[in-house]
Amino acid sequence: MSLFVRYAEPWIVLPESRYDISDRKIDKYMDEDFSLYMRVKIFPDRMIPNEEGFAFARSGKHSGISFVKFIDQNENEIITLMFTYWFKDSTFVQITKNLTREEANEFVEIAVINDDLNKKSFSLYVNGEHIDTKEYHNEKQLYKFGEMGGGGFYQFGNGNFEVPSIAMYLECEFDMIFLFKKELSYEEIIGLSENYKNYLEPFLEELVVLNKDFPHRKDLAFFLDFKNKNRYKVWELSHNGNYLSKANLENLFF
Amino acid sequence: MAEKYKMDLEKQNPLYVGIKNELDSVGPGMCLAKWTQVTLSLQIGHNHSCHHPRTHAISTAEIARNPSALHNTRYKKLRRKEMLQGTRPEECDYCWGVEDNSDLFSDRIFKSSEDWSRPYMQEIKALDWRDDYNPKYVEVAFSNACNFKCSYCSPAYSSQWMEEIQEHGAYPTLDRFNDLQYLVDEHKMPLKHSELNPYTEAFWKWWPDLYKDLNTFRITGGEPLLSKDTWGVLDYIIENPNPNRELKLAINSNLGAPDALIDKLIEKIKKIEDGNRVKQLVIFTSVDTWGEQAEYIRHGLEFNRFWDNVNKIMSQCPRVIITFMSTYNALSLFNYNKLIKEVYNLKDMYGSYDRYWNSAVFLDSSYLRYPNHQTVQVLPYEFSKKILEQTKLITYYAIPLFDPKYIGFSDIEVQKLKRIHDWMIAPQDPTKQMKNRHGFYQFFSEHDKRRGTNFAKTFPELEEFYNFCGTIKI
Repeated sequence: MSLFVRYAEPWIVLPESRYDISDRKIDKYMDEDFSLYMRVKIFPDRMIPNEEGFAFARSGKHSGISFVKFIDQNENEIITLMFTYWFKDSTFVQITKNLTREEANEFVEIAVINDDLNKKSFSLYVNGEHIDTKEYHNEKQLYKFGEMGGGGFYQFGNGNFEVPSIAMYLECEFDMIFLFKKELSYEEIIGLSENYKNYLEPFLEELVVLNKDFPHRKDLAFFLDFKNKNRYKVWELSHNGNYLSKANLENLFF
Repeated sequence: MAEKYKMDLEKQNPLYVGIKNELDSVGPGMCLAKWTQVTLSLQIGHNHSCHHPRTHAISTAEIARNPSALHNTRYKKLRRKEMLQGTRPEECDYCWGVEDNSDLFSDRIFKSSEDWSRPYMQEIKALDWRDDYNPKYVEVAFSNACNFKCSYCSPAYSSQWMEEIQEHGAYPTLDRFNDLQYLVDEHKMPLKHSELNPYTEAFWKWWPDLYKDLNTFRITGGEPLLSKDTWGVLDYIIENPNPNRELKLAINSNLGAPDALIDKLIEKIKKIEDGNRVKQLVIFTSVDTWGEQAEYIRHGLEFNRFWDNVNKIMSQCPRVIITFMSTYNALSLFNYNKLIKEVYNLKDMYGSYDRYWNSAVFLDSSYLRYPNHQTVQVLPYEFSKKILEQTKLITYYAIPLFDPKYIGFSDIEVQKLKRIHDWMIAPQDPTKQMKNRHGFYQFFSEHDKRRGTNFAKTFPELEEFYNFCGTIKI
């Protein structure tokens, strides 16, 4: 089971629920240390050449994971995966990885680890390969999620759906994604992606939640395996109340 | 009212500000509901206009001369006089409390803004206080005949409860729950079903005149399907050559009546739907959780038959709406999530543009306030997490916009459940809570004795708490 996100039909997690039902306010979960994991598939044949599109982004100058298909003068195709993170002073860190056509036609496994507390670094892993670790200057501050107008979103299949001219839509399919407010080792992240089912307990018939023994549970923003979803929401395994929802400009705060 | 806040309100709620100004131009106590709305309890001969003031007795002498005195009682006319002459009726103190102690609008503004009130503002302002006035929103209980005796109900609304209390007396809680003496003192003893009911008689004399301009008519009870007067109303609407097609008709039912009556209801609904004889038809039913635990709370309920009846009505009546009035109480907690899921499935299965409302079914979750011993506030704090989980679940099934093209829970359905959680965790007086816990054990242990039920077996999640309550000495 997966979630297929159509072009220009994005999905979002709204961290600040208007019903105030969330145990954890996750709008600042990428401000400091974090660990992000996803398995996402893009569709190169349907990508618009030279147009960047975001699989996952947080509010704030398109920080997140994006893809672009370049076609050069000789009609050669280059498909690039980019991790970008913007800082408050409008500088940014970017790590890129070119994908082969074979890689781009399958689910791509991506992990980003941010050590903000000690090393001030981002590390990107793609399909088990450590792509790069880039450090940033101590004085730089991460762009605070909560300081963005309208509050913070985690956006899927776009960079900023509220402003169509810079929405940077991407047709893509998600198989798994989770986010921790904590720096985890790469091995630990992969271990959780493979073993999370050992920590599931039934909640209501077909629905399940991660039990209290799931490692770092209190630092988990969301864990989506896409096994359960209804027409507008994806069931979230931490049962934190921060659901991935179909985006609708008419009512951002549903 | 703080000037800044007042300005905010004016900006945000021009309708309510306008209504308030219009009402206040008559006097600070003016409220249209005193004319436009009435709840009639014909089994006890009482009424009130607006649910906040206590009910008052209807004079049999008055209705003998003038059947509209079911609503236009002398008592009420004196309250209208106070309103028209610029004073605040004492019985409406709920609203005065809100207005004097906060910046919020009180219910007199909201009730006067309804579509059954607001259009009549000018004609009501021009009335003399002695004038009769036909209400536009009428709720009526014809009888207390009921086949259920829900744990939080009372003999005034259930003949089954009446029989039990007459046989065994009040429950041994500190407040002597359901003691008939209270009904005697308040003049609220229901008339016997075998007796001629002068209030019902007056209703039928008044009905042809009342019906033609009604906005909303809601039949409550007792169980309305057990009352011949309910069928009389439905037949009147079906057979009337000039039906009031603007009428919003609502019928309460526990949907636990014999099959023949459910089938009869469906037959009548179909005729009303097919003839386009009302603006909308809504059935209000009640269930407070799922399965066996729901059966315990609402004694007499056969859950599976109830759910079958819901499906039967929804599948056979393509326009009707069913609202589940859920009185969320201490016993609702453990299976309410199943109710949420199954109501969602009903919305999914029966959602249609043909329905009168945007959703085929609604889950209206309200918290039980009385009896105190059964509210969620008697439970230990940690149980509140269950309600929070349920709020997350209902949010998972919520819709982006309240529109028939979406299937799921509306904003209000989510918010009402969240409100129960917030109410449960609100600070409480520990002494009162201890008394209520004492009452919890006293009531349900007596309930098991009288009705042959088994609390601990039905609610294993509460067994430890129940036993603890049994140790409390007052």
